This record gives sequence, C-alpha cells and structure tokens, in this order.
Amino acid sequence: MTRYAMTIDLERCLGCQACVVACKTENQVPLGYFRLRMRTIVVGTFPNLRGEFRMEQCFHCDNAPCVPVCPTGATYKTPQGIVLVDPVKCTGCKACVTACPYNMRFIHPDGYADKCTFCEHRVAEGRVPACVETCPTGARAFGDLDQANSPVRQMLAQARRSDVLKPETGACPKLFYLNSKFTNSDAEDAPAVVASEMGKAGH
Amino acid sequence: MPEIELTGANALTFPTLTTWGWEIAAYLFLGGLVAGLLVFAGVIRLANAPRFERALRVSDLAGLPLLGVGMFLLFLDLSNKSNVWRFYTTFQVTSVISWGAWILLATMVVLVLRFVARVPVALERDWRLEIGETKRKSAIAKLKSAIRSFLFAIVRFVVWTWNVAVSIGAWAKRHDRALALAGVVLGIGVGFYTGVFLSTLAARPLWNSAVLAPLFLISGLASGGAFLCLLISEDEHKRLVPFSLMMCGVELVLLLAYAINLVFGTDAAQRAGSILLGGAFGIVFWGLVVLLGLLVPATVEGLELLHRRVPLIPARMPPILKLSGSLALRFAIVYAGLLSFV
Repeated sequence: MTRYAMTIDLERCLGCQACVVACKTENQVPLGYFRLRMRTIVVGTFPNLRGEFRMEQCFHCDNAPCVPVCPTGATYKTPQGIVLVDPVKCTGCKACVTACPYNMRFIHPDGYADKCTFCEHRVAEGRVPACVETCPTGARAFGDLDQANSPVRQMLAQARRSDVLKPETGACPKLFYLNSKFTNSDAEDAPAVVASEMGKAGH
Repeated sequence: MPEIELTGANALTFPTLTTWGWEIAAYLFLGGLVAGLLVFAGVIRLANAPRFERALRVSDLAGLPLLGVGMFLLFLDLSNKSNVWRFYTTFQVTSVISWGAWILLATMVVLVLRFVARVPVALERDWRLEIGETKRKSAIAKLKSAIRSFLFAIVRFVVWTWNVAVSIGAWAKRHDRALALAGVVLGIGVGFYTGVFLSTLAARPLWNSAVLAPLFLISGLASGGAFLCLLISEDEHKRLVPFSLMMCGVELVLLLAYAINLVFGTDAAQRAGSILLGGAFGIVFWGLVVLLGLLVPATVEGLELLHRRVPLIPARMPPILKLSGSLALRFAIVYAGLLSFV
C-alpha cells in the first residue's frame, strides 16, 4: 500500500523559505495566506544560544483528527494517505480548522478550508511536491513510507534521529523532522514563548 | 536560564487561523435555552400540570423564533454559505456537527408544530373578517380589477397557508403527548449536543472535557427555566423556584468538577485552565458566571423560598442574572478555548 510521507533534515535547512514561495506559486495561495510556514526556535542562555528553523505544513496524519469531524465528507483521505479538501463539498464550518492540533488549516478567501495537499496534482504525474523540488540544500525528501527504497525511507535510515510534532495527540503525522538539535523537554523547560518577526511578516 | 523563541501558531499571531466567534457562542446559548424550554414544556405536558398554562404558551411561542435565530447564527458563521444544503444530503456518523444538523432539523419540525398549534387559534377570526371586507370592495371598484385580483391572489395564498397551518396545528394538538415526549428527547439532545460540539475537539484542551456536555445541558435547562420565569405569572414563578435552585446547585457542582479537571489535569489542560480561570477570562468566569450568574440568584431565590423578600432586588432580577451568566459562560469557554492548544 502507498503511504506518502515527507522528511525535512533540520541540519540542512537554512531557513531560506524557498519552499514557502514555491508552494505559494505552485498552488496559487492567496495573498496573506500560507500553506507552509517557518518557526524559528532559539534555545539557550545568551551568548550560548542554539537555533533551528522548522518548516511546518499539513502533516497528512495517519489518524487525522480533521477527517472524522467534517460534517459533509469534504475532508477525506486518499488511498495514498494524502489528506485533501473538496472545496465543492466544504461548507466552511471550520470544525476541521479547530480540530487540527497543529493549526495547519485556514479558511481560503473563497470560503473553503485549505491547506497543503502534498502537491497531489504533481504527485499524480509522478513528480515530487514543489517544496521538495525547490529546496536548494536537499533538506526535503518525499516518497512512499511503505516502500523500502523510497527517498523518505532512505533519509529516515540515514538520520541520527527523527521526530514528529506532538506525538501525544495520537494523530501519527507523516512529516518527519530529522537530526533536530532539540528535544521536547528543551521546549517544555523554556519559560518564554514569544511571537517572532516571522509570525507578523505575512500580515 | 534557557530562552526560547517560537513563531506562535495561533489566532493571535496568524489572524487567518481565527475560527469560531460570537455567532457560535450565541448559538450555544440559544440552543441551550430552547432545549430548556422544550424539556420544561414536555415535562409539564406529560405530567398534566394545568397550573403552568402560561409557561406552556410562552415556550410554544418563543421556542421557534429563538432556535430560528440560533440556526441563522450558525449559517452566518459558515464561510461557504452557498453550500449550507450539503449538511442535509449526507450523514457523517463520526461528525458531531452532522449529528447536530439533523437533530436541529428534527427539533425545528417539533417547534413548528408546537408554534402552529398556538397561533391560528388566536388570529383566525380576525383574518376571516378582513377577507370578507376585501371581497366587497373588489366587486365595486371594477377599473382596478387587475391589481385587485393580484392582491386577492396573495390574500388567498396567505389564507390557504393559514388554513394549512390551522389543520397541521389541529393535528399537532391531537398528538400532544407524543410531541411533548419528542420535545423532551430532542431538547436533551440539543442541550447535550451544544456541549459535545466543543468537547470532541481533542486539539483544544479547554473543551476536551467530558463534563462540558452535561454542564451545557444543565446550564441550558436552567436558562430555559429562567426565561420562563421572566414571562410567567408571579404564582407560576413561585412554583418554579425550588426547581430553579436545584438547577443552580447542579450547575455549580459541574462547574467545580470542570475547573478541578483543568487545574489537576495534564500540562495542556493546566495551561488551558489558566486561560479560563485566570486573567481577563477569569473575571468573566468567576465574576459573571459563578458569582452573578449562579451564587447571587441562588441566594435571592433561596431567601424567597424561606418567604423572606430581599430588599432592593426586583423579583425578575434572578432570572436576568442567570440568563446573563449562561451567555457569559458560552462566550468565555468558546473564546478561551480557541486560545488553548495541546
């Protein structure tokens, strides 16, 4: 069975946001909206600070919380494990936006719920998603999690460590962060969480 | 000391992530209120309590417009309004909103039946008189017959609709007890649903509590009772006071259980609890919901029960306070819940 997944090697990611731009161009994402976003994480005590850029997008969870809450069946999962929204069926009730533990969905100006599609239209043609293709350092990989020689499986095998966000939610996300400098407890011990300039940049 | 800087991913930093707002909070209040009215009216009918005639009339006439406004607010909240009909071309077992859409439709049918069983009796005769007059006038003024016949067609349509309503109302009256039972079941369903609507969303730890559904149900029953108390006679009001006090007690216990669940829950629940129970939301929760919405009216009603009139407090004050507390509870939980995250 096919189960599409993505990996991002955080050691290779420079935070250039070429993927954000590629996604916006490829998917005609409206002004002020993003399907991909970047988090800047800085941990430590000045001057001994360590940082990392973490790109986030829909994780196409195996056990996606957004799918069962949809009252019209507009949100669904393809047999290949990609979570999609059918704008024709979507009423814009926002249950899926509220149900996503990662806040990855938003309401498109045309009224329907929108998010990353793993560039399903490109994948159907045998191409990789736009963000993967454009990444200048090759930090991103895309492929079938159930196929031993797929790029994602190879990246996972080579990685020193791999993480998913909020594993405790039980959503089983299919975007893996490789070689992160930080552990979950780093973030938990941190006393202050402040919005950086990135959050404000889009608006 | 470690420092961390994160781009926040919530409605505060990304306005595009804003989801539900005042429409949902107001709907949850109105839904609970109508659920209370349906359960009250149903129980009174099934128990054959003739002394509550005015309470029955109020709940029959007010239920339909109140839930109508509530459902209109739900419609307003939809960002793809032209697709609203899609709720009723499918049934998604796992979606609470899908269950709610069908429960609300069934409830509206019962409310319409109750409504038409009341209205025609009061207005039927006046309408007939007016129609008779129009007929005589149209026979005299022949020059404007075209306009008149058009107007007449409209009047005839209104009369026809009216008569259909009258016959449906008569059918409803014949099935009084069955409708009362359906009203109780659907009322409990709507009241419970308003809580489940939020509590099934595991991504929002403030809502993800099993206490929320019974809390909203009881709060809805209490606000239904308070709404009746506002409009019924002093005599009927007095008979409802013990019930009203009991509702206050149960709601207080559930609120306490809910707060304890948050304070002693997981890390995510504790963070969510600090949003609702502290800061600006804390003032609303402890001040408007607990103190003014429950403790003050319960004290006044308790003294009334002991035949001690509280000076300077009008008789209708406790129900108004309870209704405001119930509204404040929905607003506080909806808005604070949207800021909570796992």
